[in-house]
Amino acid sequence: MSRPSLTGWLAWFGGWSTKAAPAPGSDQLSTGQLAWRALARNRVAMAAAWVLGLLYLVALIPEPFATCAANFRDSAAVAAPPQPVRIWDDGPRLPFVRPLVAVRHADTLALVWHEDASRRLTLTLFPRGPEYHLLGAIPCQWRLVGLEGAVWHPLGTDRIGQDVWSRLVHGARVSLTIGLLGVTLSFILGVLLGAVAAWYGGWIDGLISRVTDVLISLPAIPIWMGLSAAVPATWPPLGVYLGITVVLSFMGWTGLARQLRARMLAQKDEDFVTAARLAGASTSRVLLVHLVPGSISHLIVAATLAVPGMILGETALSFLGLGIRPPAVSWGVLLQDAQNLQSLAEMPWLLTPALAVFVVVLAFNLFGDGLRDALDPHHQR
Amino acid sequence: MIAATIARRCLSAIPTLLISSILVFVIIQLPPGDIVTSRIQQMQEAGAQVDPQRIEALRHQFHLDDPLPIRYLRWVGGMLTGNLGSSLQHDRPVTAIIGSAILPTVAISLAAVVISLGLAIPLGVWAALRRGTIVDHALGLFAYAGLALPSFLIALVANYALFTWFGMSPGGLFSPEYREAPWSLGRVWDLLLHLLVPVLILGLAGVAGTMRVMRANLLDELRKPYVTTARAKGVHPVVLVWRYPVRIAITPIIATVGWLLPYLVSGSVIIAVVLSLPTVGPILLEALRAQDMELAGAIVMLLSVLTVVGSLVSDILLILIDPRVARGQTSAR
Amino acid sequence: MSGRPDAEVTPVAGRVGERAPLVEIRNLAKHFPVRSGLLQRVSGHLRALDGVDLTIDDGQCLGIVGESGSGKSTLARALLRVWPVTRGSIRIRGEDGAVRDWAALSESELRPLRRSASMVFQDPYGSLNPRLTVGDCIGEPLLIAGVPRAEREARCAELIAAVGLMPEHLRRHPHAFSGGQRQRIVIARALALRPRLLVCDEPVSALDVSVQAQVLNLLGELRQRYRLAMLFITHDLKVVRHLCESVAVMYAGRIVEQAPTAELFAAPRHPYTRALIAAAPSPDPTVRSTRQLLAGEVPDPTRPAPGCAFAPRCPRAAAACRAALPPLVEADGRRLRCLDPV
Ligand SMILES: Nc1ncnc2c1ncn2[C@@H]1O[C@H](COP(=O)(O)OP(=O)(O)OP(=O)(O)O)[C@@H](O)[C@H]1O
Ligand code: SF4
Ligand SMILES: [Mg+2]
Repeated sequence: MSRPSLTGWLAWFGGWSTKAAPAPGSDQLSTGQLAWRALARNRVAMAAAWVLGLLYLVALIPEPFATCAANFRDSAAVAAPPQPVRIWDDGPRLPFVRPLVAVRHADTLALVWHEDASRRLTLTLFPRGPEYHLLGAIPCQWRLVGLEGAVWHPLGTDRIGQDVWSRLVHGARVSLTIGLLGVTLSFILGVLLGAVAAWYGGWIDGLISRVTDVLISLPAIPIWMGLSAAVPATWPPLGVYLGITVVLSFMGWTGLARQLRARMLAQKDEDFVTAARLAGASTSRVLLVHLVPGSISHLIVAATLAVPGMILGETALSFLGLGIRPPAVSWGVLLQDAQNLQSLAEMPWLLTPALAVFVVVLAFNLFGDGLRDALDPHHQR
Repeated sequence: MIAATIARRCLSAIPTLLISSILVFVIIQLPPGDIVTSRIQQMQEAGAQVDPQRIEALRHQFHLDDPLPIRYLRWVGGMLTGNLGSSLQHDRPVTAIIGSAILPTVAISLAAVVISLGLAIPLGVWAALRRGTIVDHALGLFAYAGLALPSFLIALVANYALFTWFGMSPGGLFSPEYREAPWSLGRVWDLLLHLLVPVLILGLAGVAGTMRVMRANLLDELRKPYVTTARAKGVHPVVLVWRYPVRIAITPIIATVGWLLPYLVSGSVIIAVVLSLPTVGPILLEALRAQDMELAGAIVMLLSVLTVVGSLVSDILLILIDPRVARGQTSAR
Repeated sequence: MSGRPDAEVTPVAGRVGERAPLVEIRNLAKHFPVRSGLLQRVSGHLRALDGVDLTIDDGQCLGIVGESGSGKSTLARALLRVWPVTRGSIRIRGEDGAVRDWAALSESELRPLRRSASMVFQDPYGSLNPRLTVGDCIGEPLLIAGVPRAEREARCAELIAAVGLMPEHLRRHPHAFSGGQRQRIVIARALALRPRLLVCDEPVSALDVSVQAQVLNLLGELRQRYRLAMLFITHDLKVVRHLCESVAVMYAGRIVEQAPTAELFAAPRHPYTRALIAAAPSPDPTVRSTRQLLAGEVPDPTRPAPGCAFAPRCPRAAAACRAALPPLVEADGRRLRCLDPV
């Protein structure tokens, strides 16, 4: 399937230029520097890059961004709705939230939480709470924004009183890194197998290409499901995480290998490669100076565009209960709660992880497209 | 030449199936435990003493004491003769369990293909004819979102929206009142309504991708001299576009629908779980959760065969439509 | 591999005062496998080059002409051993004065010898690595040859000046240059190791007409200055007249006629040479009417007929021509492969 380039459409909407004429003096720059310039000038891609940077910062150190621990159960807020930030209460106020109060439902006699419109809790910067360990080592007490002496639930809580926002933030670590790690694994496999196939040709190429073709033509999700079922349930969370990563990369390397092989084959007969050989360059010099660098930039684009697929793979598997398992949190695990229609109807905020997945997938696509446009200005739109 | 190319393409499906069967066999073997260990567990739970000789006999009965290659060959042989093994969990032959689910699975995938094309082609033509206008850009944006949005998230959201706004539970293929009813017009209509949502969701990614290809193909075609000539002769614009350019632009798309299949089959499994459709998707999930690997493996194999055969059919179509492929001037893929 | 009998080193016969052969090609052939059928098996061979004999003397410029597909580029690449050849010998006199058969050497044996010959390609856009600076491109052969950095930089500056560009251009990347400038850079790179032989495969045909002459003049000048031998491949007969001392005409992978340039143009003897000269666009439009156009198809190089390859298009073809391949006959300093020459 061809992939569209959003930058083209956004350029129309905002009158934004995604590709400007080379600035004066640009002939001193290498293609890499030119690509950077083009990327920096592409506002959509840069915005996506900033979003991704922020998200990965959150994934690295989720705790300050959360309002409580991922598995903390707030018995004073069960299935509670989000507490949005407000700045208006009979006049402008410092940012505040409404406290939650529980009322017994007239029919079901269950406790139902809602915002208490008569009171205000002013948000503070760096509130202190229970101690946690930053990066698993540095003891720390403060959160970025929150309430002093109470837990703020910006996105509400689930049926057992766990804070959706904090779980979302903590789940980012697994969901975002699994994509990167999986693509890194795929990348290594893909480069290795693709380069071997292109350089040696013959039956080695035949075999690798054949296996690549087969894996590409098979439906990924059922096979992912089958393979991840083999990750034993008794494994510790880190083991499961690595197992799922390997499962995802197992199908992921094929596209990268195919692209590298094609690029290298196309370049093998380029005159500049012949020229280098005629100048007496060794095989390793031809490969490392002339062939791989010319292919790697395309591969990086392909890898960037492959990350969202991996993230979706993890989300889907965990959603189905075959991937990351509770009590570990990932976005897929959070979405499991959204599977039950009845609870979803009562607590639509349980769908917010889907929004997070969407934002990440979109950001990766936009950034990858920008990267591709920057590296390959002649790419056919 | 064409016959040879088709024959070659058919032959090339054999190694594909071979490799995927090995893959599935590995999947079946991967989890610890097998049918015998679980039988023994059952017996022990029931309080029975299981002596080693009995275990040995059981292992022999299920051919588990054979070397792996032999077991692989036996498994493949079974599949070729229609024996997909038996399910641990249900204690029934696999064929009996998935038999009734195959039809809906194939039907939904095919319907998604039809919907993809049925929507994508007119939309692509529209975008191409309104090139550069707001329609074109809006459709482009839609295509982008359609490709970026994972279908199972759309399914989740659609599930929620239908339930809260229309009180409709899109699960299953029939509303409660028709579930056991005999076939009637009302029942067919009900079925169509229930099929519509999953098929639309499933087809979305296909619509997005195909629409873009259609637009690009048609734009290329419209630039050709014969169109200019016809326009100069005063041929009516609608006739002009639909008579040749659209037809020419469509052929490669029709022929390459098979390439959508891996995505559609993948997507249908998970959408079926979300929307609880009676396809093989939920059966697969349940089997995997219960580590019922014979059943799960059979389903994965079935889905692989579906995509392989689908791609094969579409490649053959492509060869028939575009003889250049047969002559090797352009590759089929 | 060095133990092969035909790879032996022969000392040069010292024929002082005479031009000694720099390159001697004998019976050189290059066949490309053709795949087809169900299993993509090799079903035949495309004889791009089928038994070529050529001699290039020190400092001589030998032109190769022939229509598209006649095997000119294949000859250039086979001569420089871009790939292994099918048969024949390529005896080249090296820097040390020893003659070696490049056809019999392995890639690693060739590597240290390659500095004595280099190549200018047709497409100036594909022959420079876009990721390297011009200085890196020109300096690469020097770097590979182990020339120290300081000397390398001095040589690069010298080379870039020799091809008419500025030293500051060395820091730029190829994309900043026009086709003509790039071809100058390629020439500078080709000359970096002071080769004895320069192979030019249609070096100007991708350039604007206005810059073609400049690049050709540069090549002529450099040839004098460095006493280069050249194998000059072209479509353009005018260029051959201007630059080359001798011209070989190729047809279907073989040489059909070779003669000193003036003689060849004054009295072409092979029917194909005549047609080629007649078909060349003339600067004088009134001469047009006399142009004899080549009719008929180029023969399929995968299925060569037994006789003269030109017979299907030749106005003088007779039964004898189709029976057996006419030999390449040498007489009066000319060579000719035709049974019924003009
Ligand atoms: N790498 C290759 N593999 C297979 N066939 C080749 C290869 N290179 C050249 N050929 C074939 O060999 C024949 C001679 O090609 P060559 O490039 O030498 O012709 P040429 O005289 O240089 O033509 P032109 O004037 O178009 O450059 C052609 O039929 C070509 O298709
Ligand atoms: S040998 Fe015969 S066919 Fe060939 S060129 Fe001479 S006259 Fe023509
Ligand atoms: Mg050529």
